[in-house]
Amino acid sequence: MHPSLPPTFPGATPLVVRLLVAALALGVALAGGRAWRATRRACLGALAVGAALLLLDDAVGAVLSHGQLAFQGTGWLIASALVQAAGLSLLAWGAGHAGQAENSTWLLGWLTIASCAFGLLLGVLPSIAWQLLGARAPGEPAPQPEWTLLLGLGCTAALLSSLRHRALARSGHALQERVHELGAAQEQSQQRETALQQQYEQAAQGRRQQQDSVEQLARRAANLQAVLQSSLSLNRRQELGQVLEAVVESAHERLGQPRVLLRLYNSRTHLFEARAFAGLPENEVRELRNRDVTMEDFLSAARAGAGLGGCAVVDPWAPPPPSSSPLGWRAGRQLVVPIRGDDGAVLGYLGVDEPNGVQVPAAETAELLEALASQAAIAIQNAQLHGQLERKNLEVSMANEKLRDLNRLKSNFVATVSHELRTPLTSIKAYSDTLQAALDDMEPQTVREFVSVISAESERLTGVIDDILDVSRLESGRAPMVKESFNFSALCQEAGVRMDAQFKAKGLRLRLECPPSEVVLSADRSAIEQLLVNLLDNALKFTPEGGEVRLHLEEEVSLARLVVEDSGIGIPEEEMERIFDRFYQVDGSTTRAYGGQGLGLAICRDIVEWHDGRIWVERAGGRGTRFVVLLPRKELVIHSNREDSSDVSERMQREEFLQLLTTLTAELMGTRIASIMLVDPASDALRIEAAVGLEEEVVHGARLRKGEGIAGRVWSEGRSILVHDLRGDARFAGRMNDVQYSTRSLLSAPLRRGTHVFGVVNVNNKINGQVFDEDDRLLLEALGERLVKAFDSLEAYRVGHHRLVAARSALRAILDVSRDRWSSLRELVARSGLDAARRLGMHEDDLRALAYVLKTYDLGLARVGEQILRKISPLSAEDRERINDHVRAGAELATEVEPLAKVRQILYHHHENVDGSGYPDGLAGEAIPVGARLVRLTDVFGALLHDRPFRRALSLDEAVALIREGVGRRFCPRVSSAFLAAVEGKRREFHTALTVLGGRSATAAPSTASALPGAPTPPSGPPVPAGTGGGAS
Amino acid sequence: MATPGVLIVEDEQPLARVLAYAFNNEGYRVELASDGIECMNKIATFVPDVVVMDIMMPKLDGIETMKLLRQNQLQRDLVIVALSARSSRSDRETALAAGANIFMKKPFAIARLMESVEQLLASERSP
Repeated sequence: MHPSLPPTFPGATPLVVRLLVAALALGVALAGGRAWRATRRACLGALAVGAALLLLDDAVGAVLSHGQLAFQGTGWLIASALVQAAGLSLLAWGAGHAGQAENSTWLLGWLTIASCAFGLLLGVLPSIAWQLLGARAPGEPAPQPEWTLLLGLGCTAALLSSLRHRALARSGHALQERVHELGAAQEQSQQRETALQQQYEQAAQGRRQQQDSVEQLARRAANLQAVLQSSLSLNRRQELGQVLEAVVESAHERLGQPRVLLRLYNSRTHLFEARAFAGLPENEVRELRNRDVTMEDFLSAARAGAGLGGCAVVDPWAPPPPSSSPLGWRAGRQLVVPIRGDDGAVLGYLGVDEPNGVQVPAAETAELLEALASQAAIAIQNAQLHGQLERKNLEVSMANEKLRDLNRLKSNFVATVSHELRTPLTSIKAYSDTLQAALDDMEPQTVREFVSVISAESERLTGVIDDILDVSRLESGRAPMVKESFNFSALCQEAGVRMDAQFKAKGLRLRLECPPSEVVLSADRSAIEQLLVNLLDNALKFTPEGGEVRLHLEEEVSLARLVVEDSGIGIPEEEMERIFDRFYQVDGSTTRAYGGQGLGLAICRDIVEWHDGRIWVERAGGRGTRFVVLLPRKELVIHSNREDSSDVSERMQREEFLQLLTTLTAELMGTRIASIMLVDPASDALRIEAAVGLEEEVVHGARLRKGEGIAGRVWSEGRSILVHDLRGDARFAGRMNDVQYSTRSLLSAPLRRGTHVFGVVNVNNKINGQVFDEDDRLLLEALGERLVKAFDSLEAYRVGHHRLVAARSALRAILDVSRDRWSSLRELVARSGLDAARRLGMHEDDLRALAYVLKTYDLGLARVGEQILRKISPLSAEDRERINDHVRAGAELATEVEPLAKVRQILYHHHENVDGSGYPDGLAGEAIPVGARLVRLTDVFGALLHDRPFRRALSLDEAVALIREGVGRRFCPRVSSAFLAAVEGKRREFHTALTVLGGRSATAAPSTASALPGAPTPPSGPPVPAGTGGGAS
Repeated sequence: MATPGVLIVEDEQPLARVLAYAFNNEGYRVELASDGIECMNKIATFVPDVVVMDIMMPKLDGIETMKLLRQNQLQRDLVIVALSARSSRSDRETALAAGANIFMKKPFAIARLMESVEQLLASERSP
């Protein structure tokens, strides 16, 4: 290059332009640096490119000037300046931003500074090289001072920026570290806080648990105290009902059981009876009461309960058996807590349920209830013992009284016997004394008279001695009495005729009212004769001159009713029961006055009892006495299929049993004919086992195959058959002419165990001449069930004699009840009861049970004694106890022949009043089984319509009004309205029955008079005092 | 001395008759009554010196009858012989308390009855 050129070339650009370019470059670099966030690579790239551009510009300049090439001109200058500017600005930008670049480290800062220094060097070096190589004119300003300046500026800026950045980065780091540290510290403190909280929670839980257990202990203590208090309050009560109430109240109030039920085991009905409740609505209570829980139910529940796992309480907590799970008590939720006596026998149980509870009861609940139950057991046993003790006391005092009576009777006997012996003796002695003293002076006529008196008095003495002997003979049971069949009617007439002279002698009239037809009696003829004579003699003695004695004989279904009525002095009510006692004298002076020896009636009673009859005395009309004797009329025809039985006593038992069953059937059904047929396995045919009212040849000849005749059909079909009219019935074709069918209606019912029919019971010829109806069918079916039970007892005879004896006495009692207390009126009342039951919507099974109960409910009364029932004077405590006891006795009796718990319950509770004032348990309201409430009503209603010694019979309207009065107190309102509606529906029939009864009692009609149209003999009825009139309006 | 009168109160007819016979034989005026009521009626018209009284009688018994008799001033000195087949101590005491002079147990000897009556009548007159 030529020397002139260099000055032109570098210096060609004026200084101002160069400064402007540099300032521009710096401005671009700064602006760009702000605008973009440069990366490290971009900074390094910018530095490298900037340096390269500067080098290139200088190198070109150097080459040109070296080659003496001069490029003069503005274009060149501008291009060079632009290249330099670009290089510079890139360099400045790169340097300026290298320090600021993100993530730059101090190393990068130093690199930048190094590159700047390198750039400076590059900028300085060409200048130096220019000066060394170039032919520069001296004095010429050093080329490109702006380079140095710029580079210095850039380097300084970069350095400063880098330093600032580093400081910033360093403080950022520190801050970040600090933040990290702080974070870690926070975390630690959080952990510590959590730990603390956990500790706190644990502590709180511990405290809570502690508190809980304290509370639990307190509660347990409170509960145990409650049990203790319950026990104290329980033991303060003596009356059983109160004790039971207290038990459930304790469970309910003190132990907080929401629903409590207590059932007590009744050993007479063999049922757990619902006796006390708490927290239960009325409808559930009613439902619970009507549910029978048997011992089997209870035991199966106990067994089921024993399997309850996890239960702290041992046997037998249990859910109720599904069959007895009562309304609203969910199965599996009920706890049954047995109440056990000292000997472990179950007295009853406490049932509680926990609607919110769990399947398995809380051990605590269980424990408390068990504690309560054991206390309850003691209290219940105490109450029962107390009751027993009271009864025992009464029994003892009654027994004492009896002993005293007996003692009195004995001394009375001795006195009486001596008196009876002395009286004729006195005459004998007086006459013989007189004869002895004055025989010589006496007229022969007088002597004869005296001797005959002596003879008569000796006779009399003999009679007294005979009586005494008779009594002892009967008493010792060695009476040689033999049964034979004879016409009782004829015997009565003979006796009457024979004694007529004596009556005439005393100015008395003897009226004989004997049916003209035969009344066959199977009895000891001479004993019955003695009975008649004694009764007539008694009437003769106690009837004053001008009076009348009536001997009345009446034939009934299976018995004869003998009535001897006088218009004499009467017997005081309180004596009526005792006049049959041996040697009992109403009062000494009367005996003397009437010459009674006090033995006649005792002998009568012995004779009647020997014949399985009954005798009692009642007031006749206003004054006078009526003796009533019931005697079994006719021997039954028994055809035993078991004649092969070698055991004679067994055969006799069986025969007696069959006799009872057949008689009972005829009595209850009111029929003249009844027969029991059994399937004879040998011939596979039905044979008559026992019958009443059938001829012997009929009984022995009858043999029916399955499906043959009515009975055969009953056998094959297993259900009862009611024939309204034999003539129109194809099943009975050809047998119509049998004389035995005086009515055309017949009823047969099967005897069966389960579905197996083993016999048939038949009845026909209703005594009132009517045809059988649905009520009769119900009754016979019900009776059939009892007959089966009775046969079962007979079977059990081999096992134990006592059951047979018990069953026999039960049957006899039923028979007594039906014999003594039945009339067309009673029948009508019973039918009204059945009608009421239908109106109440009772189930067929219940109806059947009721049909039977309505006929026999006063079972126990047969054991009370007629005399008490007919008493006029207020009853003594002893009498009342005996009457109260009859219900217990009845239920006990019933147990032997009664298959249905329902019936036993009705029998047991039919004297309860709806307000709780009745007996024997004092139940109230719905607690009384509905059947018992109904029987209560029919019982009272029937009694009101009959004469009683202390009042005359009421009219129908009066009786209805009295019943209405008693609604709510004695009678259940619901049952009463159904019953009264039923009575209203039978008003016409009632009027007929009452008229018949009134007519009978008022006029003492001849015995052959028909009570009902078409009836051959009047139906049996309770003796109605003559003269007081019936209750007919 | 006037013929003494005797009233026999006895419901047992044969005995009453033989007693009447015996007293007649001894010269008494005899009246009969078969019970207490009849006795009181007879007393109204017939004033006896002796009453032979049975205890056990219908309507009105011997004890009550004797009490009634003794209530009357006129019959204060009447001799009463009580007869009874019941002979316990209490029977005897009751009869004596009711007013009987003596009590005789049945059966008795007629002769002894007569003797007693004679003695009683004698002691009655002597003071």
